[in-house]
Amino acid sequence: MAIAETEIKVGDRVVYPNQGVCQVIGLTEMEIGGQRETFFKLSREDDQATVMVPKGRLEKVGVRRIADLSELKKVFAYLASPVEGPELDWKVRHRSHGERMSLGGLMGLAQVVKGLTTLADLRPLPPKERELYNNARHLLVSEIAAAASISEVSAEDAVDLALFPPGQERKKPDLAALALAAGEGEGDELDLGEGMDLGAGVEEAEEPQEAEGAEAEAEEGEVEAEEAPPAKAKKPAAKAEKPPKEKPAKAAAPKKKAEKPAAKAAKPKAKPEKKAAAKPKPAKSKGKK
Amino acid sequence: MIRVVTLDPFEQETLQQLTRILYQAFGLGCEYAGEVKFPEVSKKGEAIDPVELLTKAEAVRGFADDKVLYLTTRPLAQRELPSGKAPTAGFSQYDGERALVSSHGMPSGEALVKRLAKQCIHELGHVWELHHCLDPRCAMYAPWSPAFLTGEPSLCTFCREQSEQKIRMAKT
Repeated sequence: MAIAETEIKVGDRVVYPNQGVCQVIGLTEMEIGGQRETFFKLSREDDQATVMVPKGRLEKVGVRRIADLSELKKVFAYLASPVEGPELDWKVRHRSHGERMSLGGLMGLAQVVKGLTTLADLRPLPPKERELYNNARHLLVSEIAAAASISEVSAEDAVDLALFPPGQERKKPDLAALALAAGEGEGDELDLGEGMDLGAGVEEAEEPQEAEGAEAEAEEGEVEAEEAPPAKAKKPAAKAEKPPKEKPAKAAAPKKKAEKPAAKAAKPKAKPEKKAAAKPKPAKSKGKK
Repeated sequence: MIRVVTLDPFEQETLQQLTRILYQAFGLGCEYAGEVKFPEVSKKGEAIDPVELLTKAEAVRGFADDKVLYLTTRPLAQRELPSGKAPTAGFSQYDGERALVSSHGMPSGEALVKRLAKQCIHELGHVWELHHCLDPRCAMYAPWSPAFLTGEPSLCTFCREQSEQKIRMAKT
């Protein structure tokens, strides 16, 4: 779909990947690093910002013509097609979304929008992906509006009409089936990416899993406590190491219940630390008096 | 400033509550600017073409960044879009100045204010370049979905931040 330099002329409307619909406003020559080069001057329709593309790199950059009506039909058919499970590995997702945004054309944008919409049905999107969704949606809507010669609000509605047909609740992907597909019992099945900035909703969604894990651990701890006393110290110590890794303070609330059985074992370790930490306080208060 | 203009008679109390909700949603002044004459527009049966109505509606005095919200009680025609017919309770100019909302088919009484306010926030959101949101509780969610018909008339954190950013940038 990329456009060759011979096919482009002043006044044409083209799509610059990740920038949106632009109009070719002219050709200019510029000297950069001692070399004279010819540039296509494009004006972005959103805000009239100027984009300069070297003449020889037009195809490589991925500048393409605005999608035609047959491509629009394919995009709407894709958006209206049954929901598939989203990509759960955030690294794969991040890479593929980046490629689709820059080189995937209109269908690539639709894939990013649909993929993230499906993912949002499972969990709230982390801020970076929410931002990506907004960008992809903006590019998709503006290109559809340009291709179908309709207003952006109508293009927006057209996209959502395909994604959310009127009078129907959206069919959400089967969480259990997705977890199975991701690998049974492999821990973080619905991985949104620990390295990414996760929203508060995501942390809340993780709580039940943690609580279940903690309950299981607590039960194990109880059994081991009865059978083998030396193992007592190891389990609570391992538990004591875990909480600092987990960021949210909220996670502590559901753990209270789970920790009850193991509390006996945890006490001997926790108490001396508390005392040590508490000691300086009385000394300070004395000093104040 | 958001200026609410009626094309048909509305109760004063409804308008007062509506302006208060809009002020809270966008953090921007909102006032009732009076009623203007309903323009002559083409009809599809009883329904009115929203695109034509929005362009032909009489202008009101305001400043450069003011947004005008027109309210009507008459039904709006469904729009023919590439993916089907869109149920239309409102229409707006994306990154423009005008928005239009119809109260036709909305519940009466107290529920009307909430439903009307949610639709108004949605259309005004488009005026500030907001796209449809993923959060079913947000007023920018797809307006024909069952989730949109319930819940509070407010924006989610992301949409609120986006609109605030646009409003800040637009201030003359």
